[in-house]
Amino acid sequence: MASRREFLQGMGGLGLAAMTNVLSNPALAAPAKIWFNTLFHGGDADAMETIVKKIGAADSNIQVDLTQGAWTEYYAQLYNSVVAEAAPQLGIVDDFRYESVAQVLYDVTDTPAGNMLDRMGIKPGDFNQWGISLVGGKPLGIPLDQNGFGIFYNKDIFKQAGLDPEKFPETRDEFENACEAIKKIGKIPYHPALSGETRFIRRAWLGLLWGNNGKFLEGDKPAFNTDKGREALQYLVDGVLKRGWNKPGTNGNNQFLAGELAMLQNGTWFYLTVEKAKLNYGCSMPPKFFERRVAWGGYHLIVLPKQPDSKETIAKLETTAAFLKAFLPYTSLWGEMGGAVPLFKAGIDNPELKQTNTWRKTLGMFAQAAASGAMLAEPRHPKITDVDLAIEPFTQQAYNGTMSVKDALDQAEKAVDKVLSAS
Amino acid sequence: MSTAIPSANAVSRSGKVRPDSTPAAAQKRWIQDDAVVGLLFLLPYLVLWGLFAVLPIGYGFYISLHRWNPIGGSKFIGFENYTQLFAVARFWNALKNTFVFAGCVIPLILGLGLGFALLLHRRSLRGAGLIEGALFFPYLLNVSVVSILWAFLLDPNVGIVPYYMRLLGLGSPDFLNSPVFVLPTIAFVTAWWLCGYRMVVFRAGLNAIPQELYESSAIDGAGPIRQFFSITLPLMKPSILFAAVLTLVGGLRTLGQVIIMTNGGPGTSSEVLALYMYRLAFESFNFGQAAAVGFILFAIIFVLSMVLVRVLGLRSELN
Repeated sequence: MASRREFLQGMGGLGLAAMTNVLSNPALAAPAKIWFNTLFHGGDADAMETIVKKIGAADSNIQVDLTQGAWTEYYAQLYNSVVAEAAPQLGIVDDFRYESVAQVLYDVTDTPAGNMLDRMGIKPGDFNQWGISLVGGKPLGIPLDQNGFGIFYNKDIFKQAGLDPEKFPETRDEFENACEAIKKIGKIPYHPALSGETRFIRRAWLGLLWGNNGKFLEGDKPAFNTDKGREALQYLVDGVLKRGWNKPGTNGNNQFLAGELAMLQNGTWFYLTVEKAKLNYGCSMPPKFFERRVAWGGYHLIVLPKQPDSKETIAKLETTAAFLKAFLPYTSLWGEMGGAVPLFKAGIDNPELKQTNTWRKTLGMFAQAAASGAMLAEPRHPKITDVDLAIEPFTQQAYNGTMSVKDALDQAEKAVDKVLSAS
Repeated sequence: MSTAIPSANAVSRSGKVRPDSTPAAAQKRWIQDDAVVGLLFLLPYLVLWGLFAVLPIGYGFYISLHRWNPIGGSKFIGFENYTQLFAVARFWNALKNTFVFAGCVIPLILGLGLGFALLLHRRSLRGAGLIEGALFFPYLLNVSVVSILWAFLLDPNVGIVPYYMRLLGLGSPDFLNSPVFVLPTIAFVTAWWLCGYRMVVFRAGLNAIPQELYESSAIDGAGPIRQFFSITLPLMKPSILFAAVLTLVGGLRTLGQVIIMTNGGPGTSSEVLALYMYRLAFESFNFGQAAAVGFILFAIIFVLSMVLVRVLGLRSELN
């Protein structure tokens, strides 16, 4: 009978042999687990989680640690994690923040693991609007979707107000008449800016500015402080302060989900939230308030934050490529669950997507708007975030009635000038 | 109150006092020995303090002198970040907001904390323990919970506070969307959150005051108000200093409540220095200028804390 020492020695030897075998044979080693950090936090976060789970269930070699966070903290985390050499292998970036973080992203055609597009078996022509991924001619990301604003409206309130719930106002007059009819039945007619946060007020104004054929920036100069810009902001302000369609400081999401608000400007991502609220709703592009029917929009890109130089990085990037390849067939599901317009052609052209409830309720309309150029993105500029931050306090003060439209845009122009002229 | 005690080294084995062991020399050596021992006791703290306070502050100042690029290629620019900041209206607005907020929140927290402590100190009050627990409870909550809770309570559409104010016919100001009300409102919420802890600090200070002082002063004819100003307040100076410095530091570098409840709005009406610094660093990635704001904030807090220490004094009158 073997002694306890002999038994332990034997087991130890066996363990060592097994370990040596595993380490010397990468095929038997555990696959590299990758970290995917997104900025999604609403219905689109649920969609991404579902897709990642499905990919993991289909292929156990693709292990993904998915974390999803608040939008405002996201870019700071992304930047700092690269500086700390502890970045996620995959991230998501909005097009308007894309250039500000370009320094910390890989060129997807030139990573330590080679050309990711080749590894995924795709080419730029497989995407609608591949051009949005280019910074200085280099693709620093893979286009995921186009998102933007539309107006979600409560069909029951429309009916109560004597309006046709299947026909959303298309002109400014029709829209204003609808608002007045809704006001008469004691409901809140319209909220132009989602939860009412400063950035949403600015975006609502931008939609009107572009609809009025105005410009935001021209090169390195602000171009919004014009008659068209002031007219657009005045219309936004009058809606709350003069016409009484809502009040400053209110949260349109809460009002809409509580069934008190008839029309809410919100994004493609609002689809799942409003579905869960079980409201009888419709969705449309904003009416033609001025010259054109357009709305604020943007893009999401999948990006690869830079990693420290190591063998482990290459292994992780290989897993990343495998994950992205597996992700492509799910881009239509991304559209179905997340509500945004997929930019991978095979995803948006998928006939199954067009049979879904999402397509019928919101996505079909958004896809048409995207294709016709009615969802406009902010101009690409390395300082666009600073420009936005400089403007937002003034557009909000105008919206609140604590500053005149003229003063607001004068001061915003000065602030933007300062931002753009700073070294 | 040290006396001239010769140290053990000063006396030879034969019992004769060495030539250099005059009382003055012995006293000097004793003090030196004492200082060394004291320093040794302090050393673990000093090392940690140096590593986690002095070094980061120094490094922050170093960053503030650069056009900082964490990825590499930072450029030394001297005090340019500071001069640029002083030329920006938004910085001065943030500085003003910081002082307005501190001016509201510090007296509120200290006043409420002291008021509750005095009320609960009355032994005749029934259920004092329960009240104390209820008042202390908010302090256990995270800043996010407090901010989200109050933002909801104050929401103009669904908030219970505006609802009851309207019900009472008072009319409800737009607490978080009014440039006038926003900072006092956040200060009130902060006071609700933090005054319970200050109350506990003040209660500890009150409990340390000997009861005999009140009894003898009462025999001498002192009323409650005279007792409060001549006995209670002077003898609570260490507690007041501790609570005041803590509140001053917290008040001047407030970020969480502001970022969650208003994100600096409406406009920039509640944008305080800490939020401005956060935005410079993590939204604009202008780390050099953010470090300059941080260093200015540190200097302000340091100077004001030292003034408080100077005015109130570190020594307790009980000694």
